[in-house]
Amino acid sequence: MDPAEVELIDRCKKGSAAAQRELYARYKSLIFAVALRYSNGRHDAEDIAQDSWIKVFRYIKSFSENNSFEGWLRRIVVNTAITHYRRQKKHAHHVAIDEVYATPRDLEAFKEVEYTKEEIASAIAQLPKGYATVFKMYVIDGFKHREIGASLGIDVNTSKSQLSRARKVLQSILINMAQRAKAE
Amino acid sequence: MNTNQFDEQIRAMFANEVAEPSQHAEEVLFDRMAQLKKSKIRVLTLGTIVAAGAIMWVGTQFMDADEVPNLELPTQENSAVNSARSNEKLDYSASFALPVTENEAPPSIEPVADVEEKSDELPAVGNAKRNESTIAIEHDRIQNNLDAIEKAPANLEPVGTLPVATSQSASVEPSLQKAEEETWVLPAVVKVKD
Repeated sequence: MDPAEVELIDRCKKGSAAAQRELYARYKSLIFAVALRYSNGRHDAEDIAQDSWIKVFRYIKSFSENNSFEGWLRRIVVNTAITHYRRQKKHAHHVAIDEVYATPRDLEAFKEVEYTKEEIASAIAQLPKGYATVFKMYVIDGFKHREIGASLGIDVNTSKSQLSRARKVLQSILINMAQRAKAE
Repeated sequence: MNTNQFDEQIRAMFANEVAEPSQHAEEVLFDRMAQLKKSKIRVLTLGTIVAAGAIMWVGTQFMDADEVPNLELPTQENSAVNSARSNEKLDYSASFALPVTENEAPPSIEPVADVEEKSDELPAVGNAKRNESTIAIEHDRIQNNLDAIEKAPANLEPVGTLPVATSQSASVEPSLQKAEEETWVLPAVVKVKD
């Protein structure tokens, strides 16, 4: 870890308001980006980010310098987002597409196409909430299945199977998007 | 493209993803933190006041408890009463203690303390009456024994006498009895040879 960052974290641990503002300035974009990824829009993301920052300042004393501070922040934001999600219980837009899998032919087609970040993000957004959460936690934010299971209150094997299904559904969605774009 | 490649591609896309929060988000956050800090201080102050009040209340309770005399523990007054009672016992027994000499064998008398012990087991009401009657009976008994000794043939030799130490112990024992409240035993047993 950067010595300046260690010193900044130490000052935050001592409760320095100036250090807290400095830390906020340094990581606000990262935290908001993660919050935005796990929320339904900017408004939700701002709530998640704010709650996450309060947790960060409250529990920063428990942070050990041996770990990655960025990873620690990501975990706090993701867990806060999951708590928000559970509180809001927005399961209404669950789509029963469990059985829609990409065929081998689709996967061949998938190889040939280059997807932009926006297309990938759009495809992830179309995943059922449970799949999307597991996929984002594992693939993008680097959680382990054990951590995902603990955060979501599911079994490790459930996390693995949900990730597998999420991948297949995502590929299917991306291929469909590519085919539609080709047709147009 | 295998699974790992797919994951890597997506991870790389989102690795350094940033998004700027709204301008007022920072002020909202730190205002909220200040409020939380204030409420925390308020709770701590309130907690301290409540704790101090509880400590004072407990202290007051203990003081009240100290002011109430503990009936189970012997107080100075109680011990004074006890010593007075034991003196009374001593007086009773002393009034029936016969002088013991080497040649003169005292009559057979049952220990008075036994009677006292028994009378102690009786209820307190009527204790005095029972003591009086016991005293009278014992007095008659002693008198009868003395009469019997006087009427006895002159050639009869006394079987034994009590050692002098016994009479000494008689003078010591009251203090022992007083101290330990043990059984009072009159120092005389006479066996008459047929």
